Parts: sequence; structure tokens; C-alpha cells
Amino acid sequence: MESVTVKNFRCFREEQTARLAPLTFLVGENSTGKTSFLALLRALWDVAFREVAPDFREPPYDLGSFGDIVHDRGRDEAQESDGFEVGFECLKSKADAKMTYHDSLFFRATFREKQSVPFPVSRSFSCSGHWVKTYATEDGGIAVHFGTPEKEWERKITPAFPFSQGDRLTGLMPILDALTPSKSSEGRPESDESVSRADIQMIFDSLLPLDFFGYPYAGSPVRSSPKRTYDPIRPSRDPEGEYIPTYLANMARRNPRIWATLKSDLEKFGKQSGLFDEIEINSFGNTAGGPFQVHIGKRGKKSGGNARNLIDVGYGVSQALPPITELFNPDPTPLFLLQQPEVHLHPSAQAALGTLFCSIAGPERQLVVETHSDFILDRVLMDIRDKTTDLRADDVSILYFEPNDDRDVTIHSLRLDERANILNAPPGYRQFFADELWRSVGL
Amino acid sequence: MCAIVDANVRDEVFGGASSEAGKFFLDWLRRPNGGLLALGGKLRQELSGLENFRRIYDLLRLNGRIVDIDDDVVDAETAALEALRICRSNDAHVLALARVSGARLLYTNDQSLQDDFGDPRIVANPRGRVYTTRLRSDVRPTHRELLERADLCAR
Repeated sequence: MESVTVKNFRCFREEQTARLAPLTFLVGENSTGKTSFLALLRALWDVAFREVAPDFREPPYDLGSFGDIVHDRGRDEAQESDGFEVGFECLKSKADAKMTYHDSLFFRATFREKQSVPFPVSRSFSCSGHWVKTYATEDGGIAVHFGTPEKEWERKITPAFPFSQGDRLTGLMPILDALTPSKSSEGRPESDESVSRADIQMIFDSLLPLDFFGYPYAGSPVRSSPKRTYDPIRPSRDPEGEYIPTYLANMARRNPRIWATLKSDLEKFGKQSGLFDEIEINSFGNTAGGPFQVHIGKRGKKSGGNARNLIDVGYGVSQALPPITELFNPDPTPLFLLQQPEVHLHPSAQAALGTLFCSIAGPERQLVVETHSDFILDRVLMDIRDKTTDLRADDVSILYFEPNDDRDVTIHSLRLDERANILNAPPGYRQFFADELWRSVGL
Repeated sequence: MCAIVDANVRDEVFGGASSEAGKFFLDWLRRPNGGLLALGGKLRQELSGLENFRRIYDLLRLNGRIVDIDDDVVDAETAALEALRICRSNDAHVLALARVSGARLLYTNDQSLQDDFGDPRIVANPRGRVYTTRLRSDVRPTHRELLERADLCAR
């Protein structure tokens, strides 16, 4: 995603657009909407690419019911709220024999209340002047407004195509199929309102396929506690990373090739961060499904040390493992949503996280990190300034969430120049830190 | 607006030995609607000898209040400026920093550098202005006016 637009959602009253980059940081005081913003990114992914109505209570986020999610001006003004509007811009690739082109695809959705939760009652896609906007009709069907740079049309397709079935929304592709005139209609005289197969094909080619695979990883700031001995569990992702030890054990026992790479990556980060030098899985019994322990080795400078159980080393190690393992996961996760990955980590390990983010983030793996850590941010700035990463200044966005007196929030999209100087910081950005330092140095 | 602090007022601004006008300038760097500080080249080493400055610099950088210029860029501009042989002062590195960073306000008590900074052949578009406590260390109307100007930057 290149940018996200939000209006009337949580603390974001006015319509505003935030710039996203391969590596985006969300910074600002507590209760300024950073976590809501992360939840919104996942919801947008759901409604645009997975074509499902998003669950705003799915862990690790719980934004509550519709009344908790829509901006509260409706309640304050004793009138019914219209709902909220959200959207994004992303780059859509097209290739011909000679080169690959990128066009901006714009997506927008309007949510209204349906059985006390938000439901997307309209969705629109547009790219290169071709667009489709779908609305839910009162009878449960779909009204479609669509067009090309030259013409536009309106149709209602119902009842064969319901707007949704349960949480599943009727996808863009079947909608366009339904709008396509049959071959038998070819050759008939066209009226002004006629839509041709060629028109639909142009729209189809502009908007589809929505080839954004995978599912965002959403990590929680609260992670599962370490255990001395683990019984394997179903290794499906959870925000607190409870499945991570089982995932590591499965790799170590069943997939030595992937485990060798993963272990090497983890140990490299462990050394850079000062957290550990070695990670091992100790199995009990002969079966791959038996209990196991995670052992962590950290050597002294002069002498080697024995590996110790994960529960016997600093808490930071077990707390860092879930997000780190996810970042090294060979399965391509397109969008990482991380909340305060720095918790429990020494500043040196926080800084190492910054370098790790720089090495992972890119066009195929977008990282959005909510953080209060100056050490992470500072390391990223230095790595970009000193060109120790392939990431360029444009590849980083800092979103500063600034509350006003009414607790409405403005999102400032801060950019970097090639020396990693932070540009366009608004007045008052990090004023607290300045006041503290001035006091500290006695000036 | 973007400013440069010369090494000869380093202690006066950042060192706790502040004059009234020095404190006024430092407060301008801190306050929400204050200015930017340019740094790079030899001046970086000159100012970094002061621990307070290093701490303030680290903070201002994260706060988006530093215009950090690559030392090599400043050094190259310094050499080019020296080759012109038009500087009276021996602070071509400060003038070079102004030329490459766009900073057009200089805090200095060096008369020769003050003259060079006002020389449109050296610093122009807009012309450089000088904040000084060489004659008066209290806060004068000229000090206030200089820090309220929004046009002293070529960026």
C-alpha cells in the first residue's frame, strides 16, 4: 500500500491520507489511534483483496462494535452517524514483453452499521480512469456504477448476485462477468447506454487481477510466556506467538534445510542484538510429535557457556522470538503489522531490530511498526544515512499521530532526505523529549 | 528557518555559559515553532567536542530539527570557496556549509566571518544575516527580529 485514507473512523474525524512506505513507523503518544490504524490496514486488506467483511474484533485488535469504531461526532451531536470511509492506494504491476509498468490502484469502502458491527456497504476500485463502484441495495443485491475515461454506466445485478453471503462479499471478477454482454448480443445496434464486451474488457484489464496474495501478520505487544517444556500445538499463527516454539520444533525435526537457514538467521540477529548466540531444539522421545524444549546459548567473551532453557534466560529473548521468527519466515507474508516490538528489549537489541527491519522491508514485504523506541528509529535513520542498507530514504515513512484539544487526531506523514534528516516535522513534534533534555543538561 | 552556530559561540549557546541572547537562541531551537540547525564538515568536529552539544544534536536530529550535510559535500564546497580567494576569514568551512545547506542565519562573534557572511558573492539568495553577541549580550530587538524571520533559508 502506498497510502491510506481515513474519514470518521475512531479518532480520525476529518478525511486525511497517510503515506505508507516499505518501512513505516507509527509514532505518537498513547491513545492517539496508532493501533486503530494497524487494525484498519488489516481490515482494508480483508475487504479489498480477500473480499470479506472485516472483523474489527479479531485479535490482536479489538476495536469494539460499530458505535466504538465510528467517530463519535454523531453521538455528540445527537444525530445518527453516516458511518466511516476508508481506502488506500497501491501499485498494480502490469508487464508486457519489454518492461513492467506500475499503475496506482485506488480502493475505497464505506462502512455502515449492520447488526451493531461495521459492514462495507460500498466498495470502489479505480485505476487509469477505469472504475467500478458497487453498492448494497435494500433487497440485498448489488448496484454497480462503472466507467471508462469516456463513458459510464449504472446497472443493478440481482438477485443472482447478492452483495454478500455471510461475511463473504461478492468479488469484483464475478461482478464484471455479470456485466459483460453475452456473445449473442453482439451485432445488435447499440444505444447510448449500451456497454460493450470491449468496454468491460478494458475495465477488467485495468483493475484485475488483484494479485495480492497472502495475509498480513499482526503481532501483539503482549506475547506468550516461555515454558520449560512444550507439548506441540497446532502451528497456526496467533498474535501472541504461542505457536512459535512448535513452529521452530517442526522445522528442526521435519525440515532440516529450512531449519538450517532459519536457525542461522535467528542466531545472526541474536548475536547482533546481544540476545543470544545459539538456539537449539531438544526433543524428548523418538517421535516428531513429542515434547521438546527450546535452549538458548550465550557465550562469555573468554569462555564458552552452556545452552540454557528459554525460561531461564532473560525475558526479552522469549518476547523477541515471535516477531523475529515471523520476519525470517520463508513463507511470503506481504504485510507485517507490529506493535511495540521493542518491549522487554535492551536498547542495543532495539537498535538491532532497526537494522533487521531495514534488511526485511521492501516492495514485497511491507512493515508497519508501531513503536515508542528512539533506538529503533535512530538506527534506521543512521543505516539509511550511512547507506548500510539497501533501503532508501523514500522507502521509509514516519507517521506522527498528533492529538488536538478535542482528542481528534491528525496524522502527519514525515519524510526523510538522503541524509536521513527528518523533513516536515510539525511544530511540537517530540516537544516532550526536547523539554526533558533541556532540563537534563541544565539549560 | 535554518541557522548555523559558529564554534566561537559554542559554549555560549550549548555550554551552559550562556549569555541572555545565547539562551534566547537556544530556546528558539527548542520551542515548537523554532528553527533548524545546519551541521556538516569541519564544524561538526568543532561543535562535537562539547558533550552538551552532542546530546542536543542527537535529540534535534530525531526531532527533525537538524539539516545534516554530508561532510564530504561541505569539504568539497570549502575547497571550492577557498580557491576563489574572496574570504577574509579563515572559516571557509562555515561559509561552505551555508552555501550547501541553505542556512542564511549565522550565530558568530567573529567580525571577519560576519563580514564574509554578509558578502553576496559568498552567501546569497537570500543574503546571509548574522546573530551576534559581540557587542551586546542581552536580547536586543534585532535578535528577536532575526529569529522571527521566515525567509532566511535557501532550501
